[in-house]
Order: sequence, then C-alpha cells, then structure tokens
Amino acid sequence: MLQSIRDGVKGWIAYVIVGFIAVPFLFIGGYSYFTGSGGAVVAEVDGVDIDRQRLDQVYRQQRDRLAEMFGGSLPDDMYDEAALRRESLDRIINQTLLYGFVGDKGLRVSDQELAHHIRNQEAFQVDGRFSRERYEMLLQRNRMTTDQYEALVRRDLLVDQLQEAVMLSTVVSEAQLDRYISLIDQRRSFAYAKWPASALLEEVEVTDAEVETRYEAHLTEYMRPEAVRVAYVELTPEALGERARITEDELRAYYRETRGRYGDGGRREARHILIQLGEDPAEGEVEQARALALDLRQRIEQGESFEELADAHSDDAGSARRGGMLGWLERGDTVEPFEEALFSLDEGELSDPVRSPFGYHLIFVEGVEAGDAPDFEEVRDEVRRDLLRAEVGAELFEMADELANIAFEQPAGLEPAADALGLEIRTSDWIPRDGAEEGLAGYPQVVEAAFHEDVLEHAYNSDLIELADDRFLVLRLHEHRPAAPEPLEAVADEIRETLRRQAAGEIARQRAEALAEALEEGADWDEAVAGQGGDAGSAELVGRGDSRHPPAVVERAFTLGEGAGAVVTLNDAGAAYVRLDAIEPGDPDALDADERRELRQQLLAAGARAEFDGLIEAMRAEANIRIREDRL
Amino acid sequence: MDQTDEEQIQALRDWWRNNGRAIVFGVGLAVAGLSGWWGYGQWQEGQARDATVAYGQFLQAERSGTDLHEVARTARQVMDEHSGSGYAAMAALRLAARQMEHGEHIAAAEALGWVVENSGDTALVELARLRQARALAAAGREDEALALVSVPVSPGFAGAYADLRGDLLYNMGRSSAAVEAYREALQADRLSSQARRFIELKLGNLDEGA
Repeated sequence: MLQSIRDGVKGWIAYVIVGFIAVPFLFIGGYSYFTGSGGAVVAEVDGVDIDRQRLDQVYRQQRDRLAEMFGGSLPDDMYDEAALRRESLDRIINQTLLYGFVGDKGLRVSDQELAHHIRNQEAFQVDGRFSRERYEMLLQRNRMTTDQYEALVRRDLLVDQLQEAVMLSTVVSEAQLDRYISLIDQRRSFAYAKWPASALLEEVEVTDAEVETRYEAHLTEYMRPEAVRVAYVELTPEALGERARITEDELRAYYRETRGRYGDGGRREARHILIQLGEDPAEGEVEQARALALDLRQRIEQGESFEELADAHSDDAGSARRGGMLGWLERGDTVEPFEEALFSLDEGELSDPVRSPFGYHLIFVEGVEAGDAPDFEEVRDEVRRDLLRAEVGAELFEMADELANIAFEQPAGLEPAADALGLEIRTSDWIPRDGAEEGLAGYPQVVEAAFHEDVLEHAYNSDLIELADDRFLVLRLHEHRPAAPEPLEAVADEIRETLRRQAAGEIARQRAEALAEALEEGADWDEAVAGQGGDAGSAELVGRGDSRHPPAVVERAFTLGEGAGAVVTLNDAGAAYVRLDAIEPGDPDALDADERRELRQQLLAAGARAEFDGLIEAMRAEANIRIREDRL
Repeated sequence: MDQTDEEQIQALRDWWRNNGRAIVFGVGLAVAGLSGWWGYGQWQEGQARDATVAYGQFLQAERSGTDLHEVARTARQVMDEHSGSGYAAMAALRLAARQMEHGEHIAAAEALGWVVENSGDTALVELARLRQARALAAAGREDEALALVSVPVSPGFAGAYADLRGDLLYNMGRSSAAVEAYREALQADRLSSQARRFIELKLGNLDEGA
C-alpha cells in the first residue's frame, strides 16, 4: 500500500503536501514538547489543562487559611476534605476562565505598570525599599525565573483591570436605596393572643401506656451509645516522685535557684541586632547569618558601639534607627528563645547569637528591674511539679519507652509491662464512643485508641498514648457494651415531659385556630380572646428587631398584609394568633447623610461582588469544562 | 537498480529540471505566508497598544471626574476606534455608571446597549442587559426594561434578572406577578446572602399571609 502511495503521489504536489503537513508540527509538536504536562490532569477548561499538582497547592492554601481561623490547628471533623478540594478546584476553574477571558480581549499591561506593582510588594522590600537581590532570591527559592514571574503578575493585573471595570461600574440608584431603607426601617402595629405550652401543661395527663407506646415507636431516639471500659497502666511523674522522695529542703533550694520563673520575673531594658532569616531558610543562609552575628558580637566585645552596629546591620528597621533599643520588656512580650536568653542576662551583658523564628539576635541588656517573687507557700505545688519533672524527666521517658516496647511485644496482656515497671493495672469507667467531659473519656486520644480496631476487635494492647503534663498510658479492652436502647425506666420522665409538651402545644394550636375562626365570623377581638383563654398582647409600631414580644409573633407580623391574621407556633411549642393592624414604612429622610452613605456603600459592595460573581458564573455556563471526578 | 554514478547524477538533474520550479515556488509561498502572519501579529499588537492608550485616556478623564462630556468623548473614542478590544466594553460599562450617577439615564442605557450589540460575549451581554434595564427603569421606560429582563439567561444572572423583574412589576402595581418573580429569584442557587435578605424583605412586604 505504501508503495502505491509513493507511486501515486509524485511530483511537486507531493512536496507541497508534505510541506504543509510539516509546518504545523514544527510549532505545535515542539511547543507541547517543551512545556510538557506535569502530573495527572484533573480538569480541562476550554482546552486548558488543570493538573493535580496545582489543585493540591490551592487546596493546601485553603486548608491553611481555614486553620488560621481556628487558631492554627484544624480539627479533623471541622472540614470535609472532598468538599474543600471541590471548592479549590472551583477557584482554579474560575481563575482559568478569567485568564482566558482577558487573554482573548486584547488587554495589555505596560512595563511601567508591571514594574510599579512589583516594586510595591512588601515581600520584595528591605527597609521599605525594593531590593533587586531579595526579589531574585525569593523567585529562585520558588524555582521561577523573573520572566515567568512577571508573566504571572501581568496576567493577574489584566484580571484586576476587568474586575475593576465591572465592580466600579455598579450603580445603586436613589430609588433602590430609598426602598431598602423603607423596608429595613419599617415599623408595624399588631395585636396578638398567645397560649404558651408551659401554661397548659397542667391540663394535660399522660398515661404510662402512652409513654410506653412512644418509647417503642421511637427506640432509636433513646439509644445509649456504644461504650468500652479499658484496663490501663499509667505512668506519671507523681508516681515516680513517690519513689524519688523529695525532701522539704530540696524543694526550698530548688525554689531559690529558679525563683525568676514564678511570679512576674521583673523587667529588662534591652537592645538587639537582628540578622533576618526568611521562612524555611537554606542551611547555607543560616550558617551565613550566624557567622555574621558572631562577627558583630566580636566587634562589640572589641569596643565598637552596639548602637552604631545596630543602626548599620540590624534587619529590624524599627529598632535599628534607635540603636537597636527595644525598651523595657516583660516575660511574655517576646518569643520563647529570645525571652529565655534575655532573662538569663544581667545588666551590661551581651548574649551569644540567639536563634528565633525571625533569625539570629544579639541581645544587650541595659537595665534590670527585679520582679516580685511570690511567697514559697503560694507556689509550692508548682515548684514541686517542676522539680519532679526535672528530677525524674529522663527516667520517665526511658520508662515510657520501655512501657511502649513491652506492651507491643507482648500484646495479649498488660501484666508483663506492669510487672516490669512496678505499675498498677487499673480499670476505667465507661468510655462512650463520642467521648465525655470527664475522666479518661475526656481525652480524644484515649477514646480514639480505645475504639481502634486493634484494641476493640483484636484485643491487643494499644500504642503508647501521651497525655498532657508528661502522663503516659497503655490500655486494652476490658469490657465492651454495644449501642442499645436505654431501659424504659431511665427515660420515662423525659418521654413523659415530651408528650406533655406536645399535647399542650396541640391544645394551644386548637385554641388559636378557634380564635381565628371566631374572628372570621365577626367576633369582637377582646371577647373572643377572653373566650379562648388567650394571653393578649399588642405592639405599637415596633421594628423588625423588637424583643419585647415573642420572636415568632414579630417575625410573622412582618410578613402579613394589613388586616390579615395568622396562627404561629411559639418557640416553646405553644401557639399564638397575630393580627396585623398597621404598616409604617421606614423614612429615608430620617437618616443623615453619613448613615445614608454607609448604607449605600453596603449595597454597592454587595451588588458589585454579586455582579462580578455572576459574570464568572455566566462564563462558566458558556465554557467547555470537563472535570475528572475520579482523579480529584 | 544497477546505476552508475553518472546515471544517478543525470537522474537527479532530470528530477530537478522537472520539479525545481515547484520547490522554489513552494518555499517562496511558505516564506510569504509566515511573514504575513508575523506582520499581522505586529499590526494586532499595535492595535492593542493603541486601545490601551485610549482606555488610559478615558480612565484619566473618569478619575478627574468633573466633566461628563469629556468622559463620554474619551469613552466613545475607545468604543468607535477599537470596538474589537475588551477595553471598548469596559469603557462603555464605566461610562454608563457615571452617566447614571449624573441622572443621564437614557444616555447610560445607550452606552449599555452598545455593549449588548457589540461585545459579542454572552457573559458581558447579560451583565450589560441587566444594567440597561435598570437604566431604562430609572428613565421611566419600565415596559422596555421589563422586556429586557424577561428573556432566558444563564444561571449566573438568573437571580438578578428575576429580582429586577419583581421590582418592575411591583412598581407597576402588579403585586402577585412581583411575588412570583421574587420567589423565582430566591430559587437561584448563586445568590449572595445580602441579596437574599433584601429579596426576602421585599417578598415579606407583599405577602398577604397566604
């Protein structure tokens, strides 16, 4: 067949055809060859691939941001990994759409604009000014060339242009603002009659048979959770301390040595020189910084002025200008290693280079003010605990290791470990699967270990568990109780209460409805309310946030038409009937210029955001998006 | 297949005599094509640069903010001379906002209408049409406005369109139709909490307790 092609296609036509075929390959083939595709593709947006690596990166950023809101560490049950990954992917897709959109629109960012933007980023500045070296160093650390980085920034600036054009062209008209004010500041007058369930409880009788029926019908609501009791051996500093026998004299001596630690510890007036290190510095950088700090320390010792060297070399711009002066510092003002060093120095002393999260410090103490040392008796327990830890610390950790080893090597019982270490085997109270407030069940790590399949199903010893305050324990299953309905006697009172409340609520509703009917037939309000034994009330022109009347009544009153009435359920399961008498719109003129401006700003901000989000959403509807669910 | 060198050279010569012209022609064509392509790129880049400069002049006029005529003139320049550029639609959107702020609702509606006609981009068209309807409503042409927001729209703007429809119907005194529109707006999945609350307020005010 090839032969026939060769024979058939001859002459110049063949060359032209081959030529045409070759040219696109030259560009397309070569292009994708050089850029490559990193990792698995998780989604495709209008032909642009989104790879897994990028998704992972954004997901981590999102999770860290979430963690920050929870003060650093993110509890496992506080977020749904799949949902967060999905949200991260959405973000990337939106961004990709915007990049594609601005790319097609012929938007441009001038070189000056780009340079201006980069120079103003704080990350690239040293002492408030752009530093070329820092810029290049940071990019290098992120494995990026300046060209690559500038292309990324350029793209973001293009999106900014579009976003600004859309969001700054949102308008909130005077009419819209007036209508908003007239609604939120609206006041209404209404009359109501209420029958709280608590007032009707007396009228209700609940029989034992009814209680039993409900118990049978709602067994799942009255379940006692699965629980275990565990046998455990525990290792604590106190247990060792009994053997160590600390005498009163030792305790007092230890207190005298370390008295600075108790009470407020006084103040130090200090100067410092900082040799800054970025986050995650390379080893070479750390060495370099330390060497520089040592060099400066030597020069100071040889008589050069600390102030002048601080001014010239410290990376802490604020204090450098004042000769490194930080002023008076107390414990808790600074980070741990800095504080440790500072409070171990006396007046006129200079520290060795101290490593902190910020870099290396040289600290010089200008002045010392002694603190109030507390009375020995006041801190006796604290002193005892610290001394214990100091005395038995090493031994404790050795024993903990041994405990872990023996319990692991002989997993069928705790006796070997207890015998070897001279510890007692104890038995815990019931530990429910979702933990409890007190006792061992109050430690999540204990609950987790107790319900681990090795412990629960295979009846092995658990791993070594570390609790706060240097307490260690190993546990094993002692007794297991599956989830089961509570016995009727234990929950009968609770059920009776529920049933009474329900029945009282039902009576309340009937009376409210009877009132509604009577009014419909033209009865007089006061007479009809009294006839049904309702507790009457009325509100004269109150706002939406009113709290003097039952919230359910107020809420309903604000959705009724004038003259209309309705039955509502109260929060305690009782009922009420509410009749709307008058509506007074909020008065836009009652607001002064500032209040009006502020409201307009709120509406404007929300509207602008909504319109820009709408624009992205509309782009999504147009785009060709394929998500590889199996690869997320 | 047994050819001498002499014969091979002769064959090559013959081949060149037959095909040489074609090859020279083909290569020439390729070079012309590539340089044309490159030239077009250069021209396009030049156009983009000009559009950027024109948009920059508009932004400057907008920022100084006193003379609406100057703002309109510079915006018009971008729209007329660079209608293919994204800057044209961006200038038109911004111009319309400034005109709305000065009470020139009809002019604003026209600027937004330009985007609807010329941008050729569904997302921008839907946004511009929503704003155009608001401008017409402000100018008292509520029937036209209602027609603009009574067309099918992508999910991104479905809530906003229905909300505006509710406002227009309410102003026309057609309460029950307004209630329906507001209910539809609340159905939209992508609604900010603020927008939702505002719509609920409007709806609560119309509900007869049914």
